Amino acid sequence: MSDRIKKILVANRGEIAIRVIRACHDAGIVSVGIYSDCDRSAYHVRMADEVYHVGPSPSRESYLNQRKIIEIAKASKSDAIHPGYGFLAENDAFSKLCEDNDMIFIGPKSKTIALLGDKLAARKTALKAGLSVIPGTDIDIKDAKTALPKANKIGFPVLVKAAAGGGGKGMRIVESEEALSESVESAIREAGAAFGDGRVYLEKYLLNPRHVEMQILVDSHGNAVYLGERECSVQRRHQKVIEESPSPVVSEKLRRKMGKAAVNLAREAGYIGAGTIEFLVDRELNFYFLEVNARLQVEHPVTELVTGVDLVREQIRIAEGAPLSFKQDDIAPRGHAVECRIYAEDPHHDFMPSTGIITEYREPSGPGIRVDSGVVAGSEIPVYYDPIIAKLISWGANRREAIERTKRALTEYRISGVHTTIGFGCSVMRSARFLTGDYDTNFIDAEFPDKVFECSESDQTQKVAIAAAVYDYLNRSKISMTFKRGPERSTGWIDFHRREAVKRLSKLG
Amino acid sequence: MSEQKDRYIVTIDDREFDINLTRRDGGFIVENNNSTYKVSVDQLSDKKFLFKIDDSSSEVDIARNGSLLEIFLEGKEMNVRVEPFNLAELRKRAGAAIYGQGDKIIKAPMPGLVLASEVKMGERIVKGKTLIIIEAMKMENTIKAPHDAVIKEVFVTAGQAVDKGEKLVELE
Repeated sequence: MSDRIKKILVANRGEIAIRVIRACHDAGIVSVGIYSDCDRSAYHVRMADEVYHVGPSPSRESYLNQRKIIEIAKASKSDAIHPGYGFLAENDAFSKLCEDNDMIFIGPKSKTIALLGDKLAARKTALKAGLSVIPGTDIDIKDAKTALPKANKIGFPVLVKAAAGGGGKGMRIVESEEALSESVESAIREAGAAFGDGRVYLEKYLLNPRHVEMQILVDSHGNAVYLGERECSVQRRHQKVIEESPSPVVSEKLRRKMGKAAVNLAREAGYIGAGTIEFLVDRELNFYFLEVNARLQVEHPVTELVTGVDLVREQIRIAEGAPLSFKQDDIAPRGHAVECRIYAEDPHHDFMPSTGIITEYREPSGPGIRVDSGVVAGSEIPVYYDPIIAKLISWGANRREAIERTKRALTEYRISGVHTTIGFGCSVMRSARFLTGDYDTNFIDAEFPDKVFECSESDQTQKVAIAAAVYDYLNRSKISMTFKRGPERSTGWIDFHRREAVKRLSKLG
Repeated sequence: MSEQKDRYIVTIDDREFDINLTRRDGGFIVENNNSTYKVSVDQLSDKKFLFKIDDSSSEVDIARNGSLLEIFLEGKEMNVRVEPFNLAELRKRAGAAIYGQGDKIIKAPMPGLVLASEVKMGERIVKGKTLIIIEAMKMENTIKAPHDAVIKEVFVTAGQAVDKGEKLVELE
C-alpha cells in the first residue's frame, strides 16, 4: 500500500523549484535541489535542504541530464522526483527511467506521458473520448515539400506545431503558401533544439480564439475531479503572460461540460496525477481540444487561490498512492484570481529576452497578494534558461478587485538591472477591453498597436529627464574634483565634460 | 553669491528636454517646458536615488553606460543622453558625424547562438527582412532590418556564439 514520501529531489530551477520545495517543507518532507554551473548560488539552491551539482550550464548537460539526476536521487536517498514544469516534466523516457529505478516520479506514468505528449496521438485519444478537435493533419510533416498539399487542404492560415511541443516553442502561424517552407524549416529546427524531436504537424489556425484550460486531479484509485478553468488568452509569441480564474466567459453550465470532457479524456488516457486539458474556445463558445499538459502548469496558483487546494501537495499525495481527500462537489471556487507573469523581457522590443544581474529586487505584498519568485537581489538571469523571474498572483472577492490588486501590486514591484514585463502587466490591467473580459489571443496586438507599456499614467519620461540632469550635475561636480581617477573609460566626451566643469569652477573662483 | 543656472539637453528616445537647474536650499529648482519643479535627491545606495519632484517621490536607479545613462524608473529602463546645452548645440552643428552610425550597425540584443545568417554582402534588402536568427533562452529570435538598405558587411556566421552588443550586420 501507500508509503509516505520522506524526501523529494526537485529536478528544476527558478520559481517552480522553490514552489515545490515549499510544498515539501509544508509537508515535513526533505527537499533536494540540483544546480548547474551558473546556478551555483541561485535562490533555489539556498532554499533546498540538500543540494547537488548536476552539470554545466546548458540545460542539456544539467537539468535535462536524466542519468545524472537519477544518480543524484539515489545517492541522496530521495524517495521521489518532482520535475516541476518544462525540462523533464513531460519526458516519458525520464518517467520510465524513474519507474525502472524504483524512484517515484511525481507525475503521470511514462506511457500516459508518451501518449499525451505526442500531440498527434493525443488528438486521437481526445476523439475517442468524445471531444471535438481542431481540423488538421494527423501525421507529421517531414519537410516543406510534404507540407504544402496538406496546408492547402486545411486552408490558410495554418499553424505549424511541434508534435513534442509546448510553450509555443516550434510553433509558427503561416498566412500563405510563400511563407510555408521557411516556417516549417525553422519550426523543425526550433523543435529539434528544444525537445530533441523535430516532428511537426499542421493545424487549422483559428482566428482569435480564447484559450481556456481545465485543471484536473486524478488519483490511483480511479477518482477524478476538475478544479475549474483558467483563462489564458493574454499571450505573446503564443506563450501565456496573464491568466485568470474563473474565465469571464465560462458559465457554470459550460464549466461542467468542459470539466466532464476533461475528466473523460483523463480516464481514456489512463491519467494519474495533476494535469491540464487545454481548449480553444470560439466566439460561439464552442470548445475544441488543444492538448494535455501532463504536469503542473506555470499558472496553477490561480486555481489554488480560488479553490483553496494546494495542487503540489495533492500531486505528492497522489504519488504516495493516497486517495483524493475531496470529491467533485467539495470544489466550490471562491472569488477571482489573476496571475501576471514577470519575465526578464523587453515588452517594447517584441518581448526580447533580457539577461543580466538583478540589481534590485523588492516584491509587493499586502491583502490578496502572492508572489512565487525564483530570484533575489543579486540573482542573475542566465542566457541558458527560460527568462521567467516570478509570478504575481492576486486574489479578490470578484474580478474587479483581483484586477485592482494586481495593478496596485505591480506598481509596488521593484526590479532593476534587467528589463521586465511589469509595465506591460500594468497596461493590461488598465486596458478597458481587459476590464470588460472581452478579449482573445489577439489581445496584445489589437490593444497595443504602438507597443507602449507603462505602469504610471503620468509622464515618466519627463521625470527621468529631470533625474538625469540632476544626476549629471552632481556627478560632474564630483568628477571635477577627482577626475584623475575617474571611474569610466576615458572618452572624448567625458574629457570634454571635465574640461567644461573645470572651466566653470575656475569662473566661480 | 550669484545664482548659477545650468542648462542641459536631455534626450530620451526621440524626445528632447531642455532643462534648467538652479541649486537652492540643498536641492534644485528645475525649469522645463515653462514649468518649474522643486527637486531634491537622496542617495540610497551606490546606484539608487530617491528623487522628490514637487510632491511625488520616485526611486530611480542610475548607471552610466558609455556616453549614456541607464535609468530604471518603476520597472522601466530608459537610455538617456545628458549634455550641457552648449555641447548639445555644438554637436548639432557638427551634424551627425559622431552619432550618425545610429541604426546602421545591427547589434546582438542578447547573448546567444547564431542559428542562421540570412543575408549576404552587397544584398539589397527591404525593411522587415530577416537578417540574423539568434537562439537564446531556447527561443529563436529574429533580427530584422529596421529600414530598406544594402548590406555592407555581415560580421557573424551560423554556429557562432555572440555577446550582447556584438556587431552582427552593417547596413548602408
